[in-house]
Amino acid sequence: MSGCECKPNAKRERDSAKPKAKGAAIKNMRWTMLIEAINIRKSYRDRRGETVSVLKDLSLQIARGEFVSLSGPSGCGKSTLLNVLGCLDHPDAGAYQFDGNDVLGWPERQRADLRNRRIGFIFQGFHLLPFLTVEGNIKLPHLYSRSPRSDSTNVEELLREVDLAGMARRYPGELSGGQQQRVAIARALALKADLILADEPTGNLDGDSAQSILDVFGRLVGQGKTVLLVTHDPAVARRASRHIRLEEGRIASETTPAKGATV
Amino acid sequence: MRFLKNVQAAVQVLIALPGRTLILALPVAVSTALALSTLAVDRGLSDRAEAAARSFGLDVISIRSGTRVIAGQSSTVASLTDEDVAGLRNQLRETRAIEGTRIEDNVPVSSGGKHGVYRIFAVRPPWAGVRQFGADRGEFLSDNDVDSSARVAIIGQTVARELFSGQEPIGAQITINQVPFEVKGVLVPKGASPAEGDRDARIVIPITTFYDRLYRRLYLDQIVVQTADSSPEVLARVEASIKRIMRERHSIAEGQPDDFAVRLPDLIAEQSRGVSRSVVFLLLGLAILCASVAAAAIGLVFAQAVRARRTEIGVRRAMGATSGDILLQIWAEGLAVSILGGAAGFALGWAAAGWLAASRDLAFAFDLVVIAIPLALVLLSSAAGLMPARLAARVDPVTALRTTE
Repeated sequence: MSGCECKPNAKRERDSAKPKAKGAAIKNMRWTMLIEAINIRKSYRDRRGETVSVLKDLSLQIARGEFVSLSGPSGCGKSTLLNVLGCLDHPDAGAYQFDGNDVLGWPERQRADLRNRRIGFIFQGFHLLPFLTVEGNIKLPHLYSRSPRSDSTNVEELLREVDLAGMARRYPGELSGGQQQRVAIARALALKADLILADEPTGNLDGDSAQSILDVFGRLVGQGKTVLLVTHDPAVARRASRHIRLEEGRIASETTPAKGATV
Repeated sequence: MRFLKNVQAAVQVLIALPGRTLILALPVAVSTALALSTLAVDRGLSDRAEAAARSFGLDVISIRSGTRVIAGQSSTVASLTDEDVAGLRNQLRETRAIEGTRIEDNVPVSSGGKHGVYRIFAVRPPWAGVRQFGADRGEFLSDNDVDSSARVAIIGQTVARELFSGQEPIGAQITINQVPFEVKGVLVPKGASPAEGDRDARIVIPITTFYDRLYRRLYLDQIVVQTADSSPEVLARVEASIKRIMRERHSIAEGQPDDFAVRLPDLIAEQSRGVSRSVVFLLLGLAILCASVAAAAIGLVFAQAVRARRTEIGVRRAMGATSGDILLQIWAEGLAVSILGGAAGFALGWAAAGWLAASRDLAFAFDLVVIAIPLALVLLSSAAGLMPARLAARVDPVTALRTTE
């Protein structure tokens, strides 16, 4: 079963204000999808030289403003899927459209530009650069931006958004894990990304810190951002509007927490 | 714009890691400073040597008494005579003038209660034209002075300064080895040279007066031969002729060493350098070795840093950097280290050359070659950053960012 089967539920929710005509409805549906991945396949060679299939004809659609959580056992392909959707990795086969654009055919520079402007990455280990201040870390995407307006990002405003006002001059080593992760979120938002890809963002945090991070994600979704979050924690997964479980490179189940499993 | 942003990223890293930056920049600075100061001093010495040769006369060959080793002791042979001068004048071609000179060192001279020891040159008037060493003020010797063994002297600038302290020396009396002389003129300033010492600490007197009133010595200490022109071919031909004529005149058998020494202008130039060329090459080799160490250090340290910075590279790629951006940034880090070291090296080298020139009686000068070679060493160091930069550009961001799934 592919991720496409989530469409009827999501579609019902989104289509309340849609035109009646079938053609227009399809056009509008496609327009509101931020991510459309179809039959994605990805394999690696392990150290023994044997091919390991990580993603097996996986299809997934995510609409704008959705908060999707992704879980599954280790090695099931969660991070690989995130990397493919984040244009960091290239699938062996399949199609991938980001906001209607076939990004797999794009050259490296254009894909890098897409990552820079529209996709924000958040990692379990935060991955802040220790030699840069909080402000330097948040402004890191500016270095690679081709937009002349990117320098106008208000760091203090972003820090207020993640409840870290006044910490621009601190270094990552001076912050707690939860604070560092919030800096990473601010960094992901520095260029007003549409899509946040978070790989176990609360995995290294205590309960309170994890809760505050999830609150930030909740606020972002409220502002229209799309969040795809990988987690092992069922409680975290339940905070999403849709939960996808991967097993052996395929979507094993998909639930909307309020309605139960659809598969 | 993108280039500048990558340079900005590189500078951020270098500022954040000042210890590593300085350690890497240090050998670049040392090699640049060593090369620059060595070349600058060499250039200065070459200029000075050329000036010394020109000052002595680019068309002047000097013949001096030779040395002989007797019982392990080297001693000067009194071999040059007025007859040699006459013989050379008769037989040598392609010459304009040939003059014999008697020289006495450390002669006590005094005037008005002031004393000094100076070098006495006993010459005839044409000597001034050959050595371009005429009177700056007053008059040089005349034929009449020579004919009458006149007790007149032309003193050097140093002698004038030390014995007369700014007062007019012309017309004043001095005593040379307790014999009174009248100062007739002051020689043109010549300065010092390693080959000839302070050339302004000289007193020129008539060659006849030297024999009649000071030292009853028949032999000459030096014969100067002014050639028809200063081309190497003419100098070589005249030198060969001098040797042939002198050996004949002194009846030196085949296989026996000369009892005289012939010095060409290029030998005078080499002696005037003060520091031999081989020392310069040695120091330059050391600078190149140092630059190679700097390049190797930059290459290895940055290659090691790339391994340690894989996560950072992955993060930058996730933030929108292309592999080209990463290459540019890491290379810019190496380049910036090289430029920093190079700039410090140029400043140090400049200062060292100035200090050496001042403290060791050397000279220094800058020209295109002096600047170009240290610059090439800086470029060598900066090129060394390319290898780790390529390594960094090939880092797979997915692998670099991989955490447990």
